Amino acid sequence: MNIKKIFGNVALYITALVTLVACGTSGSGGSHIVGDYKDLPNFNKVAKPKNGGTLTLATEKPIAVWNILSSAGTINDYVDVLNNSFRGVYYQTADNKMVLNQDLMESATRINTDPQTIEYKIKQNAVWSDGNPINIDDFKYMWNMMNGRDESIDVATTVGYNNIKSIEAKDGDSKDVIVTFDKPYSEWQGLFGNLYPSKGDWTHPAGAKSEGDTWSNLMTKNPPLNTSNGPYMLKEAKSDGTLMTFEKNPKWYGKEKPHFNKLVFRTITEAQQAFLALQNKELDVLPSQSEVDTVKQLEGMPQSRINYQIAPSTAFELVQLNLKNNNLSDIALRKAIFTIINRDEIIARTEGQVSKETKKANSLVYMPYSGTNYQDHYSSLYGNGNIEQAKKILQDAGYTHIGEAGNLTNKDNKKVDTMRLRYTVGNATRATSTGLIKDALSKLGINVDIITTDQLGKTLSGKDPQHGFDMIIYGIQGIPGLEASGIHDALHTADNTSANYGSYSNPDVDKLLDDALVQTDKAKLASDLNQADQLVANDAYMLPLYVKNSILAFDKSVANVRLGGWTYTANQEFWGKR
Amino acid sequence: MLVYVLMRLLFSVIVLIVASIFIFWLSNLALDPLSNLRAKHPAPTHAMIAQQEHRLYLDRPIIERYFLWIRGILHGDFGPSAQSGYDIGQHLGSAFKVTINLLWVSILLSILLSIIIGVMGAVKHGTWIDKFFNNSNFILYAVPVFYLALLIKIFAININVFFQNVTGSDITLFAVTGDSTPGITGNIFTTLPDTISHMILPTIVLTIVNVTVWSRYERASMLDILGSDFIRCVRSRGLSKFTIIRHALRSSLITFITVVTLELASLLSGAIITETVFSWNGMGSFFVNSLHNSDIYAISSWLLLTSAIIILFNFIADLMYSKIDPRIGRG
Repeated sequence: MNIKKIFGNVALYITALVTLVACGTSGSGGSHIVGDYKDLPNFNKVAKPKNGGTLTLATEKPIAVWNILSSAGTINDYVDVLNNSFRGVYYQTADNKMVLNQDLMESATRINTDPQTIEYKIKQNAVWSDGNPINIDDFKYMWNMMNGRDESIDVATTVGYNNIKSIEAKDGDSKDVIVTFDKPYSEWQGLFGNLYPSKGDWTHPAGAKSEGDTWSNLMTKNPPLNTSNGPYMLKEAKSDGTLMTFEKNPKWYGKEKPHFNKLVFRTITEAQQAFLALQNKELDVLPSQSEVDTVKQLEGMPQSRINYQIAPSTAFELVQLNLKNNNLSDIALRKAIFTIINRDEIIARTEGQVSKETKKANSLVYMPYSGTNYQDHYSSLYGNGNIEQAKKILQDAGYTHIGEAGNLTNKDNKKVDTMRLRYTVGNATRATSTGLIKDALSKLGINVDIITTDQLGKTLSGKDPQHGFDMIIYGIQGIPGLEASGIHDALHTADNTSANYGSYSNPDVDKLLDDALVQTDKAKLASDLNQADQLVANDAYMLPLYVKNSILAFDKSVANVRLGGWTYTANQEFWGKR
Repeated sequence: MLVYVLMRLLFSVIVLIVASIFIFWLSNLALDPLSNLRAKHPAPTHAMIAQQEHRLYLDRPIIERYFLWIRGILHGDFGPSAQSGYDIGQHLGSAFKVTINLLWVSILLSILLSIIIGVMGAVKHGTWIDKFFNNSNFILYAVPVFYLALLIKIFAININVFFQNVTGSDITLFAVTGDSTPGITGNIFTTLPDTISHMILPTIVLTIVNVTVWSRYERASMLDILGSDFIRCVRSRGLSKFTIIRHALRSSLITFITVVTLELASLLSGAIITETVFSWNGMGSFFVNSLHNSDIYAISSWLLLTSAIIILFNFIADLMYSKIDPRIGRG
């Protein structure tokens, strides 16, 4: 044998060997698919985890904006990291119930309905990490920043805060706060969900121009070091926002004392690389978007090391129509389109492959976890893929050439134009969904152009004709406990936001939405929203598709991490080693 | 020579100015920095949108925006970010530092290995040594960078898992994420092993990627020189092989320097794939994040910086060229 020839080709052998070894180790990852919201609080539960150690968690985006209540700060990754340094009056449990924060508050009670007046009693031992008491000053500070009276202050929302008339201390007790509204706000429990300190270096640095300027500029630029009313406080933050280290807050007043000594959040932008880091023990916890590839990757990880949870989130996918489109102004066409879309098929080919428990979303307002408030307004009307029914709707409306490719013609003898169906680029799930919708609509004779957009906001707002849409698939993040605030602008006719992307208008819906915002009776509020949702369903403006899932992968040695609530980090004082 | 240098410098500045205009214009055409804000739920008010448009100068003509941006850069201000409060200059600077940290070892290694392999291949032309390096280069050149990086990464993880299972420890031999272990402090004996552990894999990837190309250039150039008249003359004078190689090497470096200098510039402007695979928060990561945020000033600043680096390295290549071959730059 020619040794030299062998050596000459040894590169081939090395490549083959590396490939084989790289493909070598695999296993069947453990999993827990949670199909029902009420099971969420018990997942991975350990009553007394061990103390000590450092927990390393992943974030997808580096923190560029440190003020999570500013317009650019309400990014999920930022909120996951920082939310718990600024705990507020109410919070969401893992099963999406809005409950009073009993570490911070004695009570929060509506003591009057006209005018609406809420009494907040703060616990005596509740203090900030610098020892300053949490009291009325913090409530007033939040109100001043978020009421929208100074338009130069950059806030994510003013809803609810702009209804407050005054904040006073009852009988001079700064821990007993009376908030009076000049206009009722039904979802007052969502107010003061995060409290910032009215004193301290972060919110009131020396030499600052004004509180508003600090809020909009300095607080977005500077990390809130050593500032917290939660179990942990931020001790170190890399200037590029890719690494944040939290240590125990020595002034933490809550019942459950934190177990880990440190929490480290590190940014890994590529999801695939984050999974490899988890496998390599460089990460302990990894939240992820629900995608089929993610699940496959998790299933390939060693069962002995990794566990993961798949659970329903508070977001849902929907199809929205643009009523500025001449053809879509005809309700019959809209109803036919929604009728022929087969939601079961879409789920089976997309989110259903992540979790077989994936539920259809049948309301724009309430989610399946919302208990008795949730009403199904869509199943009986649309989304069943019923071709005959869809054709009949069009026939009854005088349409002809139904089912002939691209030739569907309305009663005025005008052909229905090709529709632009958009989705966000790079989203494989939506690519599949749009493909299925295109196929379905072709059965009615409607041509569809599927076009991606890399600028969802520009597309939705219609700012640029090049980014316009006739139909679009996107997701809405539900906000449990704040349904009226969340949906109002999206469906209301004339508003001061651009959230009504499809130019929908129904005066009856407007009235119901307006009433819901100021309704003090919870049952009436739910009734208003459900009636509004039913009217919108009848108008065939939006078609909710399914509830999206979330995935959380973690090292098996970590206890009490789980999905659910506003953020998966909400119970961080309970985390610990098994 | 001075005239040559000054002319090259002037030309470089003109190219940079023209590049900046194109960069800014194209970024503004392609992206809307308020796109993410508009898509928020609940949606921002019209007043909020108008406020942000004013902050980002979007209510002004593009020409005015360009001059504001350039004027800002000359004062160290890279423009307002789509993310309020985000300091583009500061983050671009730290991203640049991270990329340099990632690249400098691999660049040095690549230059050294490329010259060695190229010279060996040329001197031992046609032998098994030459064939070995040729085959290796072809195979590794054909493998996409992303695949190569992933392969090496997964290979390393499997070694780690094997080691941890055998020893029962939590020691990670090869780190695959970032440039250091979070929170690691201490003296050099603590931090150096950690740094090496993090750098070794991306360095291997980048070195392989560079060497497969550079060594080929050096080999071809060296072969060409070894066949030239002056080398025949040196050989006929009976000088040693080492002396012949030394003479040939200097001449062969002209092509090598040109290629390497141009490649260096493109290396510095990203190593995007390697940074992404190994989660280093450098220039590549900065660019990708800025793109996600439709941050036109951040993207424009990034593109301007990389253009400036490419132009600078071209300029340096020209100067070194004229130094190695004194005929260039005369008159």
